[in-house]
Amino acid sequence: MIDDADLADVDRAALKLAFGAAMDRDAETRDQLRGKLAQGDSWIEAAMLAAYSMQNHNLRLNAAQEAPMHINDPDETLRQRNFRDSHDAAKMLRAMLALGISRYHPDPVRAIAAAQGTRVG
Amino acid sequence: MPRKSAAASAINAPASPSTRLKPPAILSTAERAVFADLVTANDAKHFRPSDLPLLCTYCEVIAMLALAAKELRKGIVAPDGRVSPWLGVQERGIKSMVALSMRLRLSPQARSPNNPGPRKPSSVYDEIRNRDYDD
Repeated sequence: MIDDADLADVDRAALKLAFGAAMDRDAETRDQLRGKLAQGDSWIEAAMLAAYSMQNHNLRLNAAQEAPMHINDPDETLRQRNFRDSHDAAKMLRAMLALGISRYHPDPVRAIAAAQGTRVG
Repeated sequence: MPRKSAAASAINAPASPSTRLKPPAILSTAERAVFADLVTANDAKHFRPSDLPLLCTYCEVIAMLALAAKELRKGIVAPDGRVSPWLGVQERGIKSMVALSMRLRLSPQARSPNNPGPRKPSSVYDEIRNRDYDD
């Protein structure tokens, strides 16, 4: 499990952003995150759950589609012929990382648009 | 005083949830029996007075199909070697019955709900698949 000291500044910031966004989203998510902290999970673990929840929500992923944060190596994933839904996540993660955006950012599309100076429709 | 139409005669009271349609006098005995069975076998609110022409036609078809089936049980091929004309009557009657049963919501398929629900929005991946996010 990742330690706070191992986190890059950009990832720490993104996880805090994701945690805040998830806590504001709805009561069910808030209870889920509070439950994780209450049972002794670290804030990083709770924030990673928050990041996944927010990416899933903001990207409107279906059950078969990966969130960008779960792709280990986007280039390696894109070299594999199978699993097109992983390719989509890998392409998005590659774009995020290229723009200096954390893989844990809760809203990848807006973050990419902001970094590129474009607007999201 | 103008004569009441057969359709109007079939209705004894203003339409209400508890009023079931009555078979009009123009139907034969067999057709009236089909009518009564259908109306009592369905919810009181299933048929409206405006359904009467459709319902009467359906009952006529059902009664005719019963007659065709009875004649065909005697033999599909007549002694002279010709195919019984009742076969054609039965074939056309079945087509009419199927069409009318759908309109009157009397078949399982017609009764099944037709509410597919809201369309699930496509994912962002689906929307941007052709964009180039490469650096």
